[in-house]
Amino acid sequence: VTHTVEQSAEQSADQGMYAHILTPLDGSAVAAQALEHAVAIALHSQAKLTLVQVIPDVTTVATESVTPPVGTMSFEKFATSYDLSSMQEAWINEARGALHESVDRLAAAGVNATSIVLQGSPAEAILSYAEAEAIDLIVMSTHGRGGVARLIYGSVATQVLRSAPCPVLVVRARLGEGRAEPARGER
Amino acid sequence: MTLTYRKILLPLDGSALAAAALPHARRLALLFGVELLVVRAVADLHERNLHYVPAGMAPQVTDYTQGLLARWVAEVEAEQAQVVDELRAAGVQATAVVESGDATALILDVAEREAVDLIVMATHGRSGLARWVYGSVAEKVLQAASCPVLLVRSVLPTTATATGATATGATATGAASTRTPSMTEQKA
Repeated sequence: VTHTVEQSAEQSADQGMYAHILTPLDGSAVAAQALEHAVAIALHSQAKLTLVQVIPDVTTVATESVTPPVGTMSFEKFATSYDLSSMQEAWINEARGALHESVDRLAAAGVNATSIVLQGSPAEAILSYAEAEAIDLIVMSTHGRGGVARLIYGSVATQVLRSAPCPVLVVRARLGEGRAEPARGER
Repeated sequence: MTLTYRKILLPLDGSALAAAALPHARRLALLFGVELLVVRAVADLHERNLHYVPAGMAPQVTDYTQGLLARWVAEVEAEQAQVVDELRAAGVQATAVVESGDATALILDVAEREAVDLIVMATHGRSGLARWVYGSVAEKVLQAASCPVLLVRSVLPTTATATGATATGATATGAASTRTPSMTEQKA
């Protein structure tokens, strides 16, 4: 089966199709809105679709966002008391579980899908992976509005756009809406 | 759950930079078997020039700029027709749209009135004049478009020489190997 898939991927490349599409997810409904676009293109070009979720390093997140009680304990002790490594593991497992579910759902719909959980800075991890795996299309959501969510997720999209080794399909997220296309436009 | 595109828009501006998006627009139009609108704006010389002339000279300036604009539009239309012919020869259902006015406004307007599902356009990650001129159009379209936008990063023609390409390739490979993150993989 693997052999056939590889052959068709090569043929696809010859025919000018996309062979390997990457969609970054972050567990949010907003990020997931890009998925149906990725699926449509993957199905039409018989491409492999990889879902990626990047889990930031918990220690980094903690160092940047948490101020330990001043003077009472060192950061190391503080970090140990919260058992950051098991938090990290739990986060990774949760992401992996969610991606597994999506992959199963996509496979049932006939998509050649796989998933991967990466650790590190989201934009950097996405870009490195795209380069290493010769991804030929990234499909991702961005927020059309301001606010905290845009700062967090929109900035990842911006960084990816700026340095991506391949074209990037940007899907502007609509808040409080499940379906994408039919509800839009001037209809 | 499968979504489909019905109409794709490809903005061009006569530059090699903008044309970098063409292969992707062609590919998607063929994959989905849909119409591709090839849109090009011609700056409205007339409107622009009237701001700078005394009211008494307006009629002469109007004659002059409108004549110039008409010639420019005709030239652009000929170029567009060639692009569209090539696309049609490749099996794409392509249509040319040439109008005078601001590029961003025209792209957004055509996208809206033609119910375009996808805009495919070039941009690039470099600074410099080209980014300032064309990158800003892509940026504005990305901000304002209600449909998805596929951005294709384009390399400036000057860096597309053999040595330039090799140097870029080497840098990219080096960067990839130094910042590969730790990963845990799972397959379907």
